Amino acid sequence: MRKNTTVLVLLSWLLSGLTAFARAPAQAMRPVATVKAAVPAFSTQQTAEELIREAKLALVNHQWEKAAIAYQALTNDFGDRPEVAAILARLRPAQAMCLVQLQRFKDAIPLLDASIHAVPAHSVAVLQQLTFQRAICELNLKRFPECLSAIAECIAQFPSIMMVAPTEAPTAAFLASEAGQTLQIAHILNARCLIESDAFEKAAYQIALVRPHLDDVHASEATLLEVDAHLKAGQPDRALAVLRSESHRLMAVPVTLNLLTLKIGDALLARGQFRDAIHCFSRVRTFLTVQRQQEERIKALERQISWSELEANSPKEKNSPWINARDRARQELNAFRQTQDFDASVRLRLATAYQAMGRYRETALILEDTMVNLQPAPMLEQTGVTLAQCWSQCEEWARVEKASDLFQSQFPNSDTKSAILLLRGIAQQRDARHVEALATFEQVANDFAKTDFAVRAQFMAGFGQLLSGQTGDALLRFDKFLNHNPQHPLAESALYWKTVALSINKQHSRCIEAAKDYAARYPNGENRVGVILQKAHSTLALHNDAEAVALLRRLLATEPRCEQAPEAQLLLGDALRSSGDEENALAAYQRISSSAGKAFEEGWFKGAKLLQQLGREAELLKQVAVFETERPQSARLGEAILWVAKTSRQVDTQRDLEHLIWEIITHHGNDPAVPAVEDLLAALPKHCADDAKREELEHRLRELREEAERLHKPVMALRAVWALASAQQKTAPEAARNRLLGAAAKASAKDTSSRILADMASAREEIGQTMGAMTLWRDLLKWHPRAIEKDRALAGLITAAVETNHQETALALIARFEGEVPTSGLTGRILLAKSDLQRSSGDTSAAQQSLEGLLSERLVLGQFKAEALLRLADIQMQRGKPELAVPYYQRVYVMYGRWKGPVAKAYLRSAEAFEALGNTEAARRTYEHMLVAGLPGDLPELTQAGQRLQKLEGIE
Amino acid sequence: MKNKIILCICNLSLPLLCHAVDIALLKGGERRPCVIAGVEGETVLVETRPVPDFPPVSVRIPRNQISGIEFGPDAQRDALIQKATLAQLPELKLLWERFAPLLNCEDSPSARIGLRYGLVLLESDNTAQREWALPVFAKIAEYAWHPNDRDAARQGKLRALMAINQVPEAVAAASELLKSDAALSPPLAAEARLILGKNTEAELRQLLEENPRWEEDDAVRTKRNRLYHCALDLYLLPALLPDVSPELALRGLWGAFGIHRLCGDQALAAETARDLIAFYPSTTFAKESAKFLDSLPAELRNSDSERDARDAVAKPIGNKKHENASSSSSSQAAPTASAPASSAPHKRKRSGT
Repeated sequence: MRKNTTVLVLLSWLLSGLTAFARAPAQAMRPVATVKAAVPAFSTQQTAEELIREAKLALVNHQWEKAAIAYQALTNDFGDRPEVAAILARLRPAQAMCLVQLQRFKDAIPLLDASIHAVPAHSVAVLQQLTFQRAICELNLKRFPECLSAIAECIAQFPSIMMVAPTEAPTAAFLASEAGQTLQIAHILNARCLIESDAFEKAAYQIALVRPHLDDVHASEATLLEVDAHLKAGQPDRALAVLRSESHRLMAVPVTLNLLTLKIGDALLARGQFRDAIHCFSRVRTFLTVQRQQEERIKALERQISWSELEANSPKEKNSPWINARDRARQELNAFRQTQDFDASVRLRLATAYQAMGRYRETALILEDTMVNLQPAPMLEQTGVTLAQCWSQCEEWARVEKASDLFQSQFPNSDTKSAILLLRGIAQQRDARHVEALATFEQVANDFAKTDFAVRAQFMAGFGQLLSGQTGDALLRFDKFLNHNPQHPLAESALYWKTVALSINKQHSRCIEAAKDYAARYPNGENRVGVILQKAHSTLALHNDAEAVALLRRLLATEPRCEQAPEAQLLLGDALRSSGDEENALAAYQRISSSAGKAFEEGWFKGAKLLQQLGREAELLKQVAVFETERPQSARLGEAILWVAKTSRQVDTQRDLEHLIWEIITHHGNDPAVPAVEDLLAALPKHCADDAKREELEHRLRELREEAERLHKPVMALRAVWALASAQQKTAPEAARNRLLGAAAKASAKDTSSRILADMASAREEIGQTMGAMTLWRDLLKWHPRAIEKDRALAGLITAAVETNHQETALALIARFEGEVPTSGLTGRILLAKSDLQRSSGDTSAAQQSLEGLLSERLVLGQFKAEALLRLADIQMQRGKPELAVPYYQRVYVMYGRWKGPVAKAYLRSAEAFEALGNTEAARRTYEHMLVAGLPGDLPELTQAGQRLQKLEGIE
Repeated sequence: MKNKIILCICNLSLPLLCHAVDIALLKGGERRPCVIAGVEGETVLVETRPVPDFPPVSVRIPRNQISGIEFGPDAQRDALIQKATLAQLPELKLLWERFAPLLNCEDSPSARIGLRYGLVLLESDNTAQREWALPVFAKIAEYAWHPNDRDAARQGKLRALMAINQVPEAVAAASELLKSDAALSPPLAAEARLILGKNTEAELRQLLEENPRWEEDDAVRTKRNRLYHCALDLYLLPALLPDVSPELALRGLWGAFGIHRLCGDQALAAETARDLIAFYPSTTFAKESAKFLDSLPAELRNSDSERDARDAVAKPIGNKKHENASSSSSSQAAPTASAPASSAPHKRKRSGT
């Protein structure tokens, strides 16, 4: 149990002193200097002994006023008697104590001074307490320099353990003793005094030296002081460092801890130390948690008080520290409860720090959670725009909309509603939901007509219409915008997009006029190059070639490195060619840099066509070499070479080209990123006019393969094998297939083209290696998601899933097929498989729907439509409705007579349907028609039909 | 807050007792100070000190004679609970067995004992021992007096399910928790999010492994982006929301760092690494983050958004009007001829707003 240090020490000393006095009643009492105080005197009828006894009793019972009066009466009435003087000298400390307790600090100080300097001196323990109380008095009188002096004097009473740069750490026993407690409090007071005197750095320095040697209680207090001193000294990072290392000490003062942490965070935020600020704000608990923790603290203190009362003999004395602590905690809690929007303000600070660092997702998550989970507070009204902007930065368009909805529900009358709606419209537009975006922009324009947001919404609406192909409507909007807002910052962009719209809409004269208008108004406009290009397009479209040429030459001269330079070169070439200047046109095309990608390729083809027209095949070959050198990985390289091969007429060219082709194959054969190698290899067999040429080709491919294997070039080796298999496809299909199977075992899917993977997978399918084929199809989809062969891959996987009875997987794959490759030639086959799966699972309605869907697909082959009709009819037969089945059967042999197999089945089954209907005559006629329909004789249905017919005739 | 200093000023953080004092409330009206040592069968074990300076004696009081117990702090027991490791498992087990029957008593230490016991069990390499944790957490979740303890137990259950490899069950439980209307304590919500985040990350990894060229496939790209955003949110929220322990916040931040690295977003990974170093400097995660930063090219290694932003110290959000909202909102989207909208949703934009 902790003791009230000061009172008990003095009391015990006093009692011992009085006891000693009681044993020597005959001692003379010398007069001493007295302190006259304005207190009523006791009755002069009381003796000195009675007064002393009165004072002692009052002291023991903590009746300070009474004790003070007794002492004063003693002083006043007997102070000049020598025999009382010595007694008074010994009683002076107690008298001073009473005055301190009564908060009469000014009166207490002279008594304390007299006691401190008394001769003979008091014991060290008493001096320690006296000097300590002296400091307390000065502190309460806010005489800080004097207080510091008093504290120094107090600390000086502890010569062996200074605790400031000590040579040895104080022991736990010392710290627990009264002296130790007093010394620790003195150091605390010292720091507090320095802070009050604005000596913040000194306070922090001194308390930091002492803190490690304090006990837990005082170390907590010291930590708070040190943090406070650092903050006041403008050193929030040092305050944070202390908080980080010592936060465990402050857990018992939740309100103080959290408010201090917040304060440090604010200081760090102001200095731009965002991470440290975040660290602080993250540690601040919510309002309810702080409140709860403080309530638990108060409850624990009350429990302590209650338990102490069970044990203590003098509850007030023993419980006063707990009572003080509890009362203080209550005060803090009451003050804290008055805080408005505590949680929201902390979170906004946290969001501010993240936003300053450009961490938009974090900012958005904090703000979104705040708006969802906290009560709408006025300070949150401005955060809606920030939240929407942050989600826009993260390109999470759906969340921008959600933020907009949330904000509008919480702040329906906010003046930021227009900004939020505009952001919502932009998000919808970026998400390609143009209809919704347009509606939102129109809402902004209508509801906030007089605001800048309405104007911007008008612009965005026009732009959205342009994006979605509504060029006419877009033009109207841009015109309206420009008429009403000619000086608006967006007017320049509006005029540019107007030229684009006019050009797309083929209103070339108007486009040229708009471009002139732009040039006049915005000679240095951001979009001037784009406008000139649109003007050039329209000028060319109106066959003003010379003017287009001049315009483009001027552009390229003034802006040679602009982003649109390749497009301008291309257009210049077109204009020059159109004007008959083929040489310069060629030069223009050939000036397009290979880094321009598609523009370069387009220019190359246009230039190549020109050279072809001019008969300059040698030069054409050189251009092929340029293409190969500059853009070997282009998907059009193969196309380019094969086009030249197809269109060239000179033998030399053909020979040189063949040589070039083999050079390309050899040089790039092992590079999987050069698709032209396979284009060329696939085309080679088609140029073999006879068997000799074909054999020569095969020989060369074998050599290529051997060389590749020798040089450890696996990609080239595989390509050579594949090319060999392609060459042998018609003459030796089994050998070709075996080659592919052998290659498949060794191929690395990542480095193998989709074309080769597809052929290898098909080879495995042909010999029934379903699982092996599946692996290759999966590899194809994995490494070539945009491959042309995607439909073959999906179809292969569907087939494998059906064969292995994985119905759900098959249906999922079919759904993927329908979504990703809807125009595939394999659609018919896949939809038939789908209907079969549905039918086998008992869902004939779904199967019927799938088959009818197949019939409506334009691109599906007749063969599959015939099969679909057969299945539809079979479904009706299954339902016991032959009358509904017959028309389907009949459609097969009426509309799809080319497909003999289904036709035969249709005839047979329709006749069976007639039989089921009891219409023997129609059945017989159907069988007869079938037998003369010219169907192949080996069809089993024919035999069955013959037998059925005989039977029918036999019956008749 | 200025305090008038009178005498003893160090009341601010008085420690509460140097020894344990519980109070047994007997049915006769007596309030008996003692130390509750647990329950065995139908008796309550107490230590009492009839003579103050003499050692305590243990007595057993029939439960039916006790109308209530007021628990006080026990520094020794609290220290055991806080610092217990696998070495103290037998002690913890005994303590749990004795105090479990008092779970539903107000301020009982039973929940704390059980929670710690459960967590220590989860540290074991022995699968059977880890499985024991589940019923412990389940009991606390059902019977503990304080709702925070019940939530902590549910959090423990989630961890236990993960520790014994019942991942689908953990994911289902976490998902149900987050979907429910009931208010979850922040640590419980954080734990649930971290579990779902880990699960989403596993799905994302599998998708990326199976689709290395996901950017070229529209359907896969959509799914990839959804998983990416979802995983990031699930990991970041525990690190950003209040009242979540540093341990949970750290796991969240580390998870987000992993997602950024997985998706090749080096710049964001670097920023998150710097966060880890700043917020948790003495952890192994900070060391790993520092290694990662060292491995980056100089341009990324030397860039730092905090340093860049320090020049323009932000004003707190909510204090300023939306003076720039109009220009920033449409300049963000108003396209120019040379700057079409991005087609790569996963890339982070750095333009100011």
